[in-house]
Amino acid sequence: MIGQAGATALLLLGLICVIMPAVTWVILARQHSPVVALWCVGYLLCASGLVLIGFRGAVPSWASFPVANILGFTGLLLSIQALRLDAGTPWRPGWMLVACLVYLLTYKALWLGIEKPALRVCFVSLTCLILLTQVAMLAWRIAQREQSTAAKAIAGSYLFMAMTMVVRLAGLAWLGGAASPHPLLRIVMTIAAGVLPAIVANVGFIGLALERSLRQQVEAAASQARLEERQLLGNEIAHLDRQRGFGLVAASLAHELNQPLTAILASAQAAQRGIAADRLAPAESLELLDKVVSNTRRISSISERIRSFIRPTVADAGPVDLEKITGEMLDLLKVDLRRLGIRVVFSKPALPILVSGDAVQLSQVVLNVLRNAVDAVQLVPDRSIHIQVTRSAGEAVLGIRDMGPGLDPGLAEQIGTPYFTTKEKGLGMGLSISTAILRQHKGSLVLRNAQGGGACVDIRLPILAAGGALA
Amino acid sequence: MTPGLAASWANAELRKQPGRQHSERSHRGRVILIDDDLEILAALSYLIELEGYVCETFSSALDYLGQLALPRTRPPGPCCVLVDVMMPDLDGLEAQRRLAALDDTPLLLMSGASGVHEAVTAFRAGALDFLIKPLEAETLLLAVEKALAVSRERQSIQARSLALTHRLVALTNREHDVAIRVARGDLNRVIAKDLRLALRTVKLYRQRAMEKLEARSTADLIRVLQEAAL
Repeated sequence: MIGQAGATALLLLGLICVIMPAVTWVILARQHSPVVALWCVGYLLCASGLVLIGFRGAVPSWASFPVANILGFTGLLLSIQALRLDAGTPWRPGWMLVACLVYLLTYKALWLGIEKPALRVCFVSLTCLILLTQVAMLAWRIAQREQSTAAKAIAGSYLFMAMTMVVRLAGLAWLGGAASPHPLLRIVMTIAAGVLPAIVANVGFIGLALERSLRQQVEAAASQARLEERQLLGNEIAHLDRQRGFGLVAASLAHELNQPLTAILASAQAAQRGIAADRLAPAESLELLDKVVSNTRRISSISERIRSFIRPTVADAGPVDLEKITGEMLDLLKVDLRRLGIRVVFSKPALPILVSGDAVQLSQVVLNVLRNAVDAVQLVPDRSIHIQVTRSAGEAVLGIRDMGPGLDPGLAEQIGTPYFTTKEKGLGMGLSISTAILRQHKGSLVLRNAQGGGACVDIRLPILAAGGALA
Repeated sequence: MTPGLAASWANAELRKQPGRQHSERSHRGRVILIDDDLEILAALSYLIELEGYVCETFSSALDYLGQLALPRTRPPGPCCVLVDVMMPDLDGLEAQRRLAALDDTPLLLMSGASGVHEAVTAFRAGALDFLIKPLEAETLLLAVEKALAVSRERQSIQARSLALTHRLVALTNREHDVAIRVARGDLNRVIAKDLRLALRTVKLYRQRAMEKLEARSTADLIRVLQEAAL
């Protein structure tokens, strides 16, 4: 009767062991992880083994212990494989198959050849002990690596099961296999050794998986935040660079603003004096007023240009005409170019070439490159800059070539890295900011020495549309 | 060029056309205006012509220098040059240097970027004034008036020294030697001894030199010779 109770206990235990991995699977199925699948299948096999042992007597004897044992063995192997896969060092499936075969053959040999059940039990228990310890060690390693309590629980539960095997082996050795321990003790031991670890191990496994997914979410959120912060900082730096670029041309702009102001003041005062002395015909007064108006417009267009260049912007995408922004930046540098006697040869495309991007940021890139060219040609007698907008292989290419001294091959590697500069007053940010902006636009900046002297910068960007389609 | 600008040029031409009026204006003063900005040229020339001066405009200093090189008689009357410092092909300071080598027309410079360095260079090279853009009409016209006055004085000095040169050329060698010594303060007797001439002859030469140089007294003679030495 008590033997019956033992079988019932094993059956219950087996059922719980079946339910636990099923629950684990239901909870973690969404992760589509082979680790979870291996773990659940492994545990399910072990549980099936236990159920079969629970049904011994009801099923043919060949289907009871031998099948149960091989199921248990395979199940434990799969559990180990699950954890090894998780650690990134899985076993070869072929080896596992061989191990299963060897185990099966050894067990069969012990079953048929030797009439000593104690030896068989001893073999099974020992194998179990080794495998359980292996699982416990793997789980412990995960616990150490990830500081995970859940993994510690898994390790603990498997260690506990291993301990029950030790107890069992000790019992065998002590009693010499002659008699089984008291059936009631066996039931208590089975439940303690099976049910509790089954629950703890599976809950631990679920916990570990949840811990991980939570950590992943936190890390993803953190890296997203970092990315956004960097983007924001990038915009900020780009804005500062624009302001600085603007500062460098400010003297020129002051002159440029002064010219129309001079014309306005002179016209207005000519009108004042002329009218006061009654020496102006109405037509002449009107003409002077026209001058005031047209020169005021000239000023407002200059100030509009300044405003649109230094306004802090969040990158927004739209069609940008490379030729147009290059022309605008040349305007911004106009006074400097004239003062320094720099000749600009600008070969424009027959049709406008449009790219997609932020006009202000792309203008900034063009200005940076133009400014470098202006600095370079000051060092040589031939002060000329050649600019051309072309298309090649689906890309728009803005080539800016100066006739300056070119690049020092020794420094070529460093050019474009932040804070590297050959200029006395340079910050060394220009090209690296330009490169970053172009990368955001899926474009690139190629810096090389041109054939026949001087440096050449190619700004390459994907073409948005054939010329005129959007114009 | 904008239509307005074209019209203003046409007007400027109109104002210049009547020959008599133009020569009258020219007597009052001629302002050479050089700036690469056409709007400024138009507006400033308006202001200057309203005051009754002739204003000739050039958009490049090279154009003006080219015109100066042509063998052409220049209209009479005072003249000054008003040139912008910041210009593409030839800046104002370089233009000033080249103009100074050609003649002594008073020069005014103007600039928006009021660099101390530029101003100092300009003054050292003899600029009469350095005007900051935008120009106040008062300041500009005052400077122009001053420059024209300087020009007028230089022209009259030049005319006088030219006349003196003519008179000096009329002297014979002997008369010249005697006149120089008189101006130095030598007595007739000493001169006669130095030049181994009779006292009477010295007196005669002295008399003729004074007549030819249009000097009424010995003091006058000294002054005339000093001026001529300049």
